[in-house]
Amino acid sequence: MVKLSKIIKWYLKTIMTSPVYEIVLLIVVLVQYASLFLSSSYFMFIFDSSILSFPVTAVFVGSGIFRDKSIQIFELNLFQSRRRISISKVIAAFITFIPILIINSLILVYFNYSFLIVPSILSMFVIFGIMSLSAIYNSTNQAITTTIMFSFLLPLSIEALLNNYASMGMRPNIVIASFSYLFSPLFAFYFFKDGIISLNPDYGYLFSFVFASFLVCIYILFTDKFQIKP
Amino acid sequence: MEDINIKAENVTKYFGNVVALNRISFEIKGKRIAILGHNGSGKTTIISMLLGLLKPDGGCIAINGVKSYENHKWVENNISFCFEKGKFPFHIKVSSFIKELREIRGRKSLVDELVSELNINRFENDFINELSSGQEQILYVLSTIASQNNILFLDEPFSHLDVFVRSKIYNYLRSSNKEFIIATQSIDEAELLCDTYVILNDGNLIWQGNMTELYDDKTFEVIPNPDLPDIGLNVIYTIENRYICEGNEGEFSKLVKEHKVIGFKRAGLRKVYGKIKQDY
Repeated sequence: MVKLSKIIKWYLKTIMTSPVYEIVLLIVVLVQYASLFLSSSYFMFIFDSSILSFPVTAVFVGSGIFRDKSIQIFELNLFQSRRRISISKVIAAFITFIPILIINSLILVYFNYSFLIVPSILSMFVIFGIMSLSAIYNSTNQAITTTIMFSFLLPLSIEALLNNYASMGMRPNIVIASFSYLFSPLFAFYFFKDGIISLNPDYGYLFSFVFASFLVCIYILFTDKFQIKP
Repeated sequence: MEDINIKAENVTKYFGNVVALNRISFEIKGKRIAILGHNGSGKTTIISMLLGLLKPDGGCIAINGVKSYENHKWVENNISFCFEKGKFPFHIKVSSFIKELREIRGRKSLVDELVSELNINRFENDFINELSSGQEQILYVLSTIASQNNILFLDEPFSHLDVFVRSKIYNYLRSSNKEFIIATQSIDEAELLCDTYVILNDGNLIWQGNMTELYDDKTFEVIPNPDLPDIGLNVIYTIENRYICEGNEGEFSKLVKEHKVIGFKRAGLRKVYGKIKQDY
């Protein structure tokens, strides 16, 4: 049986050997730094991160683990375990996310917005969950499209929805508030601070953590249930 | 080396409106099995089901008593496979891939032996994206046959390979103690490598059997001399510019001496294949 570490190394090589990785890191740093440096409010940071930096990161990291069916079959023959392949993909993608998480946190500490570290990490974790589940497709294009759609559109929709509540002077009920935390902890936190959402962030963070973990688990558990037509 | 035992009962598979396999039933045992058929006959679908990549829409199919689509672990521990065209996920040097392969397979000496035998050294400094489809396929075949698993599934793996590499792989397969199943369109390849055959046509089973059944009668494949078209024998049918005739070796030897035929051999698999062509 092929060791898990060897399979992880294989996927890390796919992601890390691409020069685009450094470019993505640079984009994330620049966008996040600029959004805090050039603006007096941290809303720009939340907005830029949610609809630009995080989705770009997810699509880039995802493209390193998404595989067309012919490559999936090749790798299945090479590593001889669907389960190990899916676990390795998740671990490799997670390792690739770590430098971005660290940079993100350092920038927040530098600008004295440490309270945004937890929701931004969780926002990235939710996007990571969506990206992991998208890897179940047998087509790179489909997986990338799904990741873009969900990682970009969900936070945007949550922001639009909560803004509407705010403009009408209403408060979302517990279900909507929970969904807001599920799909975009950063925006939910912002609207909590603004007094629009009443649900305590601790519960919201728990929801989003469980939700993202659930997506990752579904991918790992169900990856061998899907058919691959050569 | 034990026999591979495949049992299929009313196996049906649809891809949209297309019937890929139409209630196929057969039971076959052999160390080296060929699945023969034209394009779209269902060879790859059967192989995919035996590998657990696809599930049948009706009926069931099992290898050595195991339904692969329900027991992936068994497949992963016993079978290595190679499809017609391998694709690599990223662009690394061939030498780096071989280094990876040595680590993954844990069989350094075998990988090195095959690398030298298949002449991979001559392009080991190239990047994988710069290789021809044949060279890429050699690497795919290498990664399959260097596996520790005892059963190999090869789905038209040699179609992009040149005749020299092909013959080296044939020799390796024939001398190794691995069991294998090959899906192919080549009668010669099937006859050379395998002892048991399944023949499919448009998702239906046409014929199954082994070498003994094939060579049981006096049917010969005859290459006629084009200058002397009348070979003086009853031709059952022709296939690929060859005649399938009934007779005995003495008669054919006599015809060779008289230059009416250039050569002859027992018709074997070509006989069965010719019959299929005639019937369909």
